[in-house]
Amino acid sequence: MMTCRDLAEKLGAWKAGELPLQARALLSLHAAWCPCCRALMATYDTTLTLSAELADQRVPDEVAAAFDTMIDRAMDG
Amino acid sequence: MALGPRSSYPDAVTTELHRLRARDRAAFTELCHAHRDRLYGIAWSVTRDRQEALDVLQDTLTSAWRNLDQLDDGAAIGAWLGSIALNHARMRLRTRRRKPAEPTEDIDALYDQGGHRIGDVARWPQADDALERARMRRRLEVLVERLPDDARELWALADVQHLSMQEISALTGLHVANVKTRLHRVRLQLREWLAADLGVPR
Repeated sequence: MMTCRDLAEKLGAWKAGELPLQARALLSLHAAWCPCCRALMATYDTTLTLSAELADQRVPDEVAAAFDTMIDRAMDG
Repeated sequence: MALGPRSSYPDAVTTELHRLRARDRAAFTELCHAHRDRLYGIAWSVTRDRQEALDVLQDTLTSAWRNLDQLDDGAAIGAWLGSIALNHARMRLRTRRRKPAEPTEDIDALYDQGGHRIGDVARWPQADDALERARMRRRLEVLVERLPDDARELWALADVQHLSMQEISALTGLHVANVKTRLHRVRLQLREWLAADLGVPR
């Protein structure tokens, strides 16, 4: 029998697909009747989504334009 | 052929490694271009500051050029470069005046002896509204500043930069299992803080 604490502890591994079938089934069963855990799972996902939305991985234009100069500077000390 | 992050041709790797160790400027330039976006991403994710990320990128290129003779594994060159970038980003963070990290909550204390959650956990307001969502992102950016540097770094590399657990392990020296465990606790902590900040039962 899984508890709320078990679900919180295993949620990361569950989402990563790293739990065996039986553990997944038990967690699903717990979540089915536990509104707190369903809310926790939903808000955990929202936290991850918000984090991903903070990404600004585009290299700024000024870096792209100056990158060769940066490399030359690195090589020429 | 530059040693890009996914290079899988052993002969090409060996040839490029020789060129780099001989300080071939063209080979180094190709290498830098192949890893530019990833290195900038690491620098920006950890420092969360565009100017500092640019400085980290420059420092990374300079250190890499100076230490090319230390390269002995062409296949691991991406991790080597990433580690240099991460170290420079860490140095920038150390010199930046930051508020001390706030104590993280004892997640276990949120559960009773039987493992049941104490109190309610509520869903958050639907963040379909663009303004509300932007507000939540701004709150999250503030809240991550409460994290200790090492926890914030894991969050930045995994959840903002989307590096794999293996990549983060190679960069930080932590075992993959340790990265996963720590990262999950950081995520739970951020969820708790965000819920409290939103004023909903958590």
